[in-house]
Amino acid sequence: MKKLALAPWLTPALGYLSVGIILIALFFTFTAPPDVLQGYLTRILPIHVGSSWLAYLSFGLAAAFGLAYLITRNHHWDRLSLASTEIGVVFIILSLFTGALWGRPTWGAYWTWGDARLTTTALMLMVYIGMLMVRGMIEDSGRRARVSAVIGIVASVGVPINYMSVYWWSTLHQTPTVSIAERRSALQNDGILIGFLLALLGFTILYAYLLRLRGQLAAQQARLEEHELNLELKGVLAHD
Amino acid sequence: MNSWQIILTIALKDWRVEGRARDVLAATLFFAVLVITILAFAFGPETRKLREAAPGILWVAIAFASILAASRAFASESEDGALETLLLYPVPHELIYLGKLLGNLGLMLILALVTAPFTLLLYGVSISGRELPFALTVFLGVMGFSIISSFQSALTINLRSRESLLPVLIFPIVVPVVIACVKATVGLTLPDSGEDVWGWIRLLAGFNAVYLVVCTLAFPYAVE
Repeated sequence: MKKLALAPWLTPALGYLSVGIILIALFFTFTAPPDVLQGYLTRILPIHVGSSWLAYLSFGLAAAFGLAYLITRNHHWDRLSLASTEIGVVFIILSLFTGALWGRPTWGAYWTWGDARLTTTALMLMVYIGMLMVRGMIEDSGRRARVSAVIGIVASVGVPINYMSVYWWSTLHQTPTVSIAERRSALQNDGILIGFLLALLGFTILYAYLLRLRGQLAAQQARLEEHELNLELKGVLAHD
Repeated sequence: MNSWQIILTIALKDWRVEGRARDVLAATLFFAVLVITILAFAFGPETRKLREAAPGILWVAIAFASILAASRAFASESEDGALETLLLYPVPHELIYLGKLLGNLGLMLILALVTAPFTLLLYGVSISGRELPFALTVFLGVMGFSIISSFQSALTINLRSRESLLPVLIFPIVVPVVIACVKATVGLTLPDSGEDVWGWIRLLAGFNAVYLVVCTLAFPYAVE
């Protein structure tokens, strides 16, 4: 309980902050002049890239939390790993959805199997849904944490593959909009660039907010289960 | 014993069990041949169409059969505390994984040795002059399946509804292997398809190297 009381204002503050930043990002995006090639279609960019980035971040950190669990054996890390995976699944679905909406007018189809980025993203979604399914099937909390940590680490190999897929296969999906390594930006004016960068920041803070929220919920669930177990034990002892 | 001897000893144990019972090979071989035959019926009698479908059919059959073999790979270890005994041996657990992997890989190679020529024969596909890259593709593809399926099989040992869970855990991860194998096989069986065969073989080799390292390092945590 102490840990929650540490900063009770922090979690909602993160939530408001992230929503505020994302709204400002959308304001910049929607007031920016249209793209020369794609016109107003680029207005979905902050949401699409933001949620994709958040999915990468979630899956990468889920693996890191899993590793932290395997080293420390503290269930705190397992709860964070679960929270991170669930957030990743939600946002990878959002990324696929916004990508489909963007793909229809630019490529002529909502979905195509020929594209490496799309295919690897769909696979990542399936791997993580499988991981959540496995979690639901293991009752022993120690084994559940251990197994899902291992799956999370193995599955995270897909994140760099997914990111690099647009370079390695060079199919339909465009390469990153902004690349620091290549010193290149496909964004044509400052408005959309500011909106894009703010959206990345906003989504990152949103991740921190959701992670705290889900982690606290999981901690409460764990406490509730422990409490029920204690009650049952007391009942058994009273009967004897 | 050095590491290689330990790995080989564990693999030999599995091969000896298989040599006596033959249940994995019998089940997977029959299954793979069945898939190849059924899909031939499903695609109809047109020779050209069958020839184009052959690479996909071959790898679907091998992928499904490897899932079947994977659930058996550790099923025998879950009886009478065999796995616990195996893990008690004073050897690094990484080597136990590599031993189990080698055991599974050996069986899967026998399976591929039968199904690949069978498919080529039945679908009227020729690879003459390109046998070596084809053999390499088959070897690397089967190895990719084995790496992932042995690992996931160990991870889910003793779980309820494990049989239905394994495909969910294995398939999404091995799909790159399936794609690379099918593309390389298309390039080898239909030379004018323009597929970059060596590019796909390189991808297979890279996949195997990355996952072999990750799975070997993660295995001790998967079974402890």
